[in-house]
Amino acid sequence: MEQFRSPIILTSVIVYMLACIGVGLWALRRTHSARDFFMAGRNLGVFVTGMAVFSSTLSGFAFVGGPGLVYAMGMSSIWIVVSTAMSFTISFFLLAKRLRLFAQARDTISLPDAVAARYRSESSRFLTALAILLGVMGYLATQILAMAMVLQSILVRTAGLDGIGLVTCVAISAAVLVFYCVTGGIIASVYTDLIQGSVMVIASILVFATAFFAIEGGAAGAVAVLRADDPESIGPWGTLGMLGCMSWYFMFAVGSVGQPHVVTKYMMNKDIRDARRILPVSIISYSISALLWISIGLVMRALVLQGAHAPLKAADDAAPAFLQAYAHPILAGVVFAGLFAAIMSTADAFLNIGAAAVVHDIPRAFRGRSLKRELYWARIATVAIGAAAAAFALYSHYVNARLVALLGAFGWGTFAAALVPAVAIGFNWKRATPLAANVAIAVSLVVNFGIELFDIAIPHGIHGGTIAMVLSIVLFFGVSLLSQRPQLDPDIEAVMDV
Amino acid sequence: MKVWGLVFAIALGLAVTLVVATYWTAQPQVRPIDHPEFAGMQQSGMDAEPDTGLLWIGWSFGALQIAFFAAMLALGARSRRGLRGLGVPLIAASLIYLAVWSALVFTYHSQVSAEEPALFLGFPTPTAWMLFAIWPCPLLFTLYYVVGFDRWIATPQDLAELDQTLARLRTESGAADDEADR
Repeated sequence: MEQFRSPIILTSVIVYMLACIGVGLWALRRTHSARDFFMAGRNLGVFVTGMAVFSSTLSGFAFVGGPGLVYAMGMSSIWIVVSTAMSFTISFFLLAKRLRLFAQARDTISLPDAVAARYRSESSRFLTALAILLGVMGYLATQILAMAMVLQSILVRTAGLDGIGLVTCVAISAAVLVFYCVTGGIIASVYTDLIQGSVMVIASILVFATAFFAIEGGAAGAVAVLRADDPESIGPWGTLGMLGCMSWYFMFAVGSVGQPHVVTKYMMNKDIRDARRILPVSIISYSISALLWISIGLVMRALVLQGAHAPLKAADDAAPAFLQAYAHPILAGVVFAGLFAAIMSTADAFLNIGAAAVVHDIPRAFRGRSLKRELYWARIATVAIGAAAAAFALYSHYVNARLVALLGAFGWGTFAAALVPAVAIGFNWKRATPLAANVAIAVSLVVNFGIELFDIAIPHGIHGGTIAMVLSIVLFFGVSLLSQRPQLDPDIEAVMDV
Repeated sequence: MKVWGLVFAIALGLAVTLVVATYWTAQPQVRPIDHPEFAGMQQSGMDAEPDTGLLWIGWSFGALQIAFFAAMLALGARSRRGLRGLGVPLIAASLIYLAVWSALVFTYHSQVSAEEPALFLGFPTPTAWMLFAIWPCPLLFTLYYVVGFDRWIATPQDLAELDQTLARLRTESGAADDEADR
């Protein structure tokens, strides 16, 4: 079986990609309007929505970056995992009801749509759409690049395909992703999320069961090795320290409410009462998948410290190295497919909200109406954004890595700082004003960009995104209280009364 | 105090804590450091007991976060009829969460310099508090959402009234449009 490891892994990935293409073709027949393309006809069931929420949240970062962080820093990054229950719960409490009811009242098809309805402000719509678009370009480029690099690492080990370069891998990865997003829009996206989420959950359970058998003494053995090297690394704060860990915890627990690719899904379910069942589906799936993050990271760190495994060139090699060295070939195949699933499930959600920003929100902000033949232009925009992100990924890899890092800063932390006040608080507090929303969004973008651009190190490992988020929340309240009390439309006021 | 006022006050508290933490220099910034043997791996660089002042700032930061979470949950659940009885369960769950958080911090403080710290399920006790108590603790809030949705989040009465209001507004808006067309 071992001699077939590479073909088995490649076959698993190909089967998975073909399944995504198949879903795209199936969804094509169910996509008749822009509402279908962006909102799945607002007709999704509990399990599909729950898995879509979970798999959009869990990106490739969790399968590659997560274990890498544990390998590098010990327990520190586990605080991101530990925030799961709080983050989903807070997000559902604040937005699942409100966004679904806004959609019912105004037929909103994007987050900027809901922002414009809430604040009666096209400038707030534009700023929200702009923040989303900037985030989409940076995030999508890094996801496509990650997907291409993983694909290349598989092909290098496969006889006859080892000469395929990164450019071809980027083209293949982007083509599959764009294909099912163009044909089936968000319907294809959420149903592939269902497959992708299931693959991730299964892969994580199998890896967790395998990981601790790879080291003598199991979990206790791994802990003993880590303690002998540096007791703090297996303590609750890892190597980063208490304040750094708590800043991550806060940013991931509260920041989830500001993730547009995730919260947009709250507008898509059939019945508002389904939210009570969607929440546990998302929490349980995410928590199970996070086991991979913890187990691979701890075990690889212990194996390297023990001398049982060669030192890794980079921390992010922890997951691929574990799979190649310790996982059964079939399990490695499933997990590599799971890795693609994690990357693509987030990337497709970004592609969809990016297209909505381009063809729906930005034209509305300037012209008061969206483009004619919105579905047609949505498909064109999806191809254009996918192609631009792929080109951007290659540019960043070969020419200027700093640029993608800068736009990458418009990831989780920036969405959190920009949208938590305007969306999470503003949708639940009638006194919030459009000026305050605009100030909070603009300031958070400037602060996050400034921290990244000038490489500002904050003492005690405190995350810059946390500083930006707390600042934008305080500013949001302050500016709202200092500006004139806003006038709400009667239907929006009725929704906010529920 | 109104719920939004509470959220604002706690956010100010968090901002103050972050400012204090940023300027707290009682302990030199030594962590993390690169591992002397393995590239890509770090060590804590801790060769002395942690600064107690910093530990208190950290505890306050965590406690304020718990208060902030609870206040945000209340903000999301609140309707024009108020919290409809959710206030007490939210406070109770928050106190449990705070107790667990305090247990983590104080076991860390008491065990940090121990030669052989106590283990629970293979992990040092403070780490076990984090994995087996802090992680599942917010599920109490999740339980409120799942079990009390019809009572605390969106009552059938609220939703029926909203449907009626939206239908009435649409009728009025349609009539106004017809009037304008004529």
